[in-house]
Amino acid sequence: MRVHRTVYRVTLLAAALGLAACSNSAMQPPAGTTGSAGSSGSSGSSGSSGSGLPGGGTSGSGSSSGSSGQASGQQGSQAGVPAGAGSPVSGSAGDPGAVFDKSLGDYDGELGREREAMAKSGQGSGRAAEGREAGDSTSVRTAGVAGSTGPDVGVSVPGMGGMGSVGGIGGIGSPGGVGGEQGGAGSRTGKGGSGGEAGQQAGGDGGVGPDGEPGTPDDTGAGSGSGAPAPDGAVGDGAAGAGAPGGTAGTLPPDIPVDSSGEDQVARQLREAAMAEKDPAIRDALWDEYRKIMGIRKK
Amino acid sequence: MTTVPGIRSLLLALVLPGVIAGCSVSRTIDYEETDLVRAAGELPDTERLDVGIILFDAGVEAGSETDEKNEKKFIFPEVRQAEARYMPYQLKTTLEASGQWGSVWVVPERSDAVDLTVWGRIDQSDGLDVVLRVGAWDATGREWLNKKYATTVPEKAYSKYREAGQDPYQSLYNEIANDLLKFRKGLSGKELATVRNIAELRYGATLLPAAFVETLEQDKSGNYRLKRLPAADDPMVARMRAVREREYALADTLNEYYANLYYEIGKPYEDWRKMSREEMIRYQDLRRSAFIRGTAGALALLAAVLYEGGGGDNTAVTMAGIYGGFEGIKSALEKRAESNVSRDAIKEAGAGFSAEAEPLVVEVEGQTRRLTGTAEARYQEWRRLLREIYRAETGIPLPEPPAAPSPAAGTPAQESAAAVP
Repeated sequence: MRVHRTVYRVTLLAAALGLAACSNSAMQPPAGTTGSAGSSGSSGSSGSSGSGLPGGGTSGSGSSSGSSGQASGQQGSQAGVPAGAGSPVSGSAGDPGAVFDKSLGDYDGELGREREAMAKSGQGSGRAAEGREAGDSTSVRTAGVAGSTGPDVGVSVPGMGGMGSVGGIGGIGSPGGVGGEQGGAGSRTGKGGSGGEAGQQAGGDGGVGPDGEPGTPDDTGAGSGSGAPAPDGAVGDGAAGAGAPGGTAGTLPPDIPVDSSGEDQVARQLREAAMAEKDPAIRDALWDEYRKIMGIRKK
Repeated sequence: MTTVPGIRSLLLALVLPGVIAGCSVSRTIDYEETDLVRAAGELPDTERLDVGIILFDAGVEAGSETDEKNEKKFIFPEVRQAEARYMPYQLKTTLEASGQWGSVWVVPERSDAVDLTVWGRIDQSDGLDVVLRVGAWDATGREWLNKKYATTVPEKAYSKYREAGQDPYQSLYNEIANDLLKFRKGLSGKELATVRNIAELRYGATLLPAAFVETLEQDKSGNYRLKRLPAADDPMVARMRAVREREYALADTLNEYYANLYYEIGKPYEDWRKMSREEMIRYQDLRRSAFIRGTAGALALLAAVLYEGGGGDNTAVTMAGIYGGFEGIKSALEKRAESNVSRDAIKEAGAGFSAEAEPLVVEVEGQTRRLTGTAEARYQEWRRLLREIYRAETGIPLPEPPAAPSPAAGTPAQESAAAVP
């Protein structure tokens, strides 16, 4: 029965997507219009196929009262009540059985559109799963950084937080993952600023805080949540990242040596991240951290 | 009879350990980690139960949102409202991860569409200590569990390198999931089938009582028993199942919104808990230290007075007692002032996260009401249609029932809410 249910749901969703794709009168009014049942009487039954009910077993002669010409597009969208042959409630547009089927189908369409809209806007569990994956991959990527350097060098992490959050704003990233994961450091520093906000600011001005484990009040001076450039926070010259000559993605700023020998793991990862970063503000912040770790005075 | 030297020794014995202990502001946090019992393989259909987790009770007294009491207890109503939605979702993911259950949904209110209903109340949650009251009832009305779950969260629970998807409170969720599993394993296959059947028929009874109510009966304790099963090919059962599928689809959609909230607040919520935990430890330690120092100081003063009153003629001892006492009290006041800093930090963190969580909670609530409102209208329509169909098929006229609650927004939520102490 559960398997049937799952199949049934998939069918419903697919049918709903099909419905949504149709741009004619088959589109149902927005949710909440219960009067839609009345319109079904005039639409007449076009006799499309109905999907079998879970547990019912038979794909019955569920009468579809959708608009004519939609039968193929709506296959499976109707409830397909297995009323059986000769059921007194199926077959005519005005009878309660047909109205019932139509109403179920309408509701499927409403929910389908709801789910589709959510999926389109990047909401829901799917988005969250993507975010989580992105977060995981970033965690893996940055694990060596934070782990090998300890709190003092943890400044690299908020820069990454900026990446995530900005990505989220652009609609391509997943703030729940990267931004959330790393932006949290900013949140601690901002004390009340959200992870996302802190991440954004960190990307823009390098306003970052230490990635130390405990976010003690003393560490919270950066105020990255407010969006102001971090004047003196725990990372010192974080604000200087804005406007720094960072070059473009894949290129080195003039003061960064081409020769990467002598870099430790942190610096190497920062270099790679900065080289790959397309957002100039984040890239600058990354290069700033690189300079700091490598002891390069910014020109 | 106690001699003066005896009193002195006694007071010294009281004061000295107190002073020593008062200087200490650290403690060991004991905790037990509970692992989730996962299914070794795919669970047979006969053992699967669909679970509905009702949004938790935030544990904030109604009308006390601005109460100073909440502040004193470090309860932030908006944070609790967010937790009341976050925690059920985390429990859902835990149950799903165990592989021991059928579909698991977070539901806004009790639903007859599920086989097992879980509900909880947040008694405490500050990142350090978490106390939940959790109950579970199956469709027959049988209580599976109704107990308090409490744990102290270790620092490592907030580690960035912990297993993905593991909440800092995970141990607690695992414990709840394991308890549910333990109860389920105590039920026979027949009993589980009965639970599923009764769930289905109770749902049917909410739609069309005339067709389903005769299949069930309630015993003296209010639990449901199966009288008979409807015919397998009963078209009304098929229609009922069709509607129930829509209930599931609605729950799926609602859970998308809950998922949104869950992932949106996930990181800031964890950050808040982490910060709150640290400050809470500091606050509690400082308060304890202040108390011990103050008490030790008062005892030292008392000792000095008693010594003097008892004929003690060594002024140095008296002065040492007085000086030590004043120092102890002074130190206690300093510690108390320090603890106020921690208290303010906790409040600030709570206010910050509240501001972040509140709009998200409001949004998901709005979506929930919109969807359940739409569904409610549909259910009313379906009930009416099912009555007409039933009349057409059986020839039995049915009176118009009074407006009944929908399966999606049934009143039994209060029923189960009341059942949880």
